[in-house]
Amino acid sequence: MIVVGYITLNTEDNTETQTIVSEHELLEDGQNAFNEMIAEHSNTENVTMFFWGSRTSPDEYEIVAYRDNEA
Amino acid sequence: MPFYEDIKTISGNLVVDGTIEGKHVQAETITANKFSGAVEEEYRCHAGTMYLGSYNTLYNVIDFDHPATEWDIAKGRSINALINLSLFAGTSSTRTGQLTFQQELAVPNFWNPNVIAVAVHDSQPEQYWQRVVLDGNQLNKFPSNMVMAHVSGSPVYRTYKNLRLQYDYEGSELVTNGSFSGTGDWTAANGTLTTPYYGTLNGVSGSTEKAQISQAVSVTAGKKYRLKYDQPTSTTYKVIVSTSTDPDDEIEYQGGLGWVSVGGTNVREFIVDVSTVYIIIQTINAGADSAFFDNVSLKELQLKTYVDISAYPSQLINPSISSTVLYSGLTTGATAGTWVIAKQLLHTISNDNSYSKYENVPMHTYLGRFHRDIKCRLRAKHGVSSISTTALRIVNVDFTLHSRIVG
Repeated sequence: MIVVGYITLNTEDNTETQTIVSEHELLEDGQNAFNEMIAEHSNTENVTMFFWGSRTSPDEYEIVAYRDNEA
Repeated sequence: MPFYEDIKTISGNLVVDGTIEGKHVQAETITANKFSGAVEEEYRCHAGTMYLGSYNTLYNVIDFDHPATEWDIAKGRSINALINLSLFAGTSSTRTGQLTFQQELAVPNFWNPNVIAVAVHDSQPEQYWQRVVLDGNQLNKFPSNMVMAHVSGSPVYRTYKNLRLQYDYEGSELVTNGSFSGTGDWTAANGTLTTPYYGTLNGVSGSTEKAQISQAVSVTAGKKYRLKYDQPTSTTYKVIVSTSTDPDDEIEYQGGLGWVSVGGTNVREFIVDVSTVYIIIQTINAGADSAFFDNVSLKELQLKTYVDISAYPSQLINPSISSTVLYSGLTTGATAGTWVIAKQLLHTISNDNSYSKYENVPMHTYLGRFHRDIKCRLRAKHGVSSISTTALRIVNVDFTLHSRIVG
C-alpha cells in the first residue's frame, strides 16, 4: 500500500509532523496523487517535504522516498 | 574421429564478435584479472568538513554520482561510507542525541527494473509478512530497500526483511524402498537380501566375494547430494557410491575408500560428475559375513534464497498462483526526481561529559545488481539539544563506490 503525505515543521521547537494525504494500492494512482499533492501543498506554510511511503501494517508505514518542498 | 586431441593454443589475439559458449570449463582455469573489463571496480568520493547546524534539519553532506560499470556489465553496486564526526559540546555537562544519516539516490527519468528471480510462496511466518523462496543464491540481487513484483499487471513495491541463503535444502527422495519394506528395487550379488526388521544382507559361506546390494539412481552432474543410511546394530558395513554395480568404479569424491558405517545415522555429502550413480551396500568381509542397514536416502542439496516480504494489505505472491518474477525495487516506484532512502542509519552521539568527542560511523548501502550510473547523496541531521550551531561537525566522509561482478 502506497502512502503519500507531507511533513510540516514547527519553527518554534523544530519538531516535525507527518500528514498522510492518501493511500493507494495501484502504483499509477499513487504517483498521480503524489504529484497532485506537491502541486497543491507547495505553498502550504511550513511544509518542508513530501514523502512516499509503504504501509506495512494498519498502524505502521515506512517513508521510503521523498522530495524536498522547493517552493 | 580421434579419441583425444592435444589442447589447441592460440598465440595471437582472438576476436570473438559474439558469445563464447563452453560446455565444460575446468575449475581454476580462468583468471579474473585477465579480462580487460574489470571484474571489480572501485571509485572514491570524499566530503570535507561541514557543520550540522540546526537541530532536526537535514543537510546535504555531498552529492555524487555512482558511475556506470565498464561495458555496461551488470554488477553488484554498493556505497561504503566512513563518517568522521566531532561533537564540541563546550561543556562537561551531558550533551546527547540522535544522528540520522541517509544514503539516498535520485529516481532517474527511466529505470528498467532488474530481475532477481522467480519467487515461490513458502509460508506466512507472522502477520503481514510472506516468506518466499527462490532457487539458487540470489542474495546479491536484492537492494537494501525494496522488492517489486507485478500483481494483476501493475507493479507493486514492498519492503522486505530476513534475506538469507540455505545451501542444503533437500530435494525429493531419490532412493526407492530405502526403508526396506521388502526386497524390491535392490539387486543382490554374492549374497541374499532379506528384510525381517531392517535390511539384512547375508554373504555366501566360502565365497571369496563380498556380498552386496545395489540400486541405480538418476542424478545430475555437477550437483551436490546428501546420502543418509542407518546402522541399526553393532555390525558395520560399507557404503559405496559407484558409477556401476562394481565397487571399483566408485566416484572420485570417495577417494577410493568407500564409507564404513557407524552405529546410528550416517550422513555423507558429495558432488557427482555423472548422470547415474549406484548406491552399493557391501559386507565388510567375504564369505558368510552379514550386514544390517536401514533408511538409505539420497537427496539433491539445493541452494535456496529465502526472504520475508511485507504482505500488507495482501500477499505479494498469491499462494494459489504460487510463483511470480521478483524484481529489484530500488527506486520504490516513486516518480523521477524523488530521492529514495536506500539506507537510513541512526546513531546516538554523546559527549560523555567531555568538552569534545570524536567518533567514526561506518555506513554500508547495497544497491543491487545493475549497470547504469545513478545520482546519489548523503544527508544527515542531528537531534542533540542545547548545543551551538558549530558544535556538531562532520569532519570528513570517505566513500568507496563499489561495483563487482556477482552471481
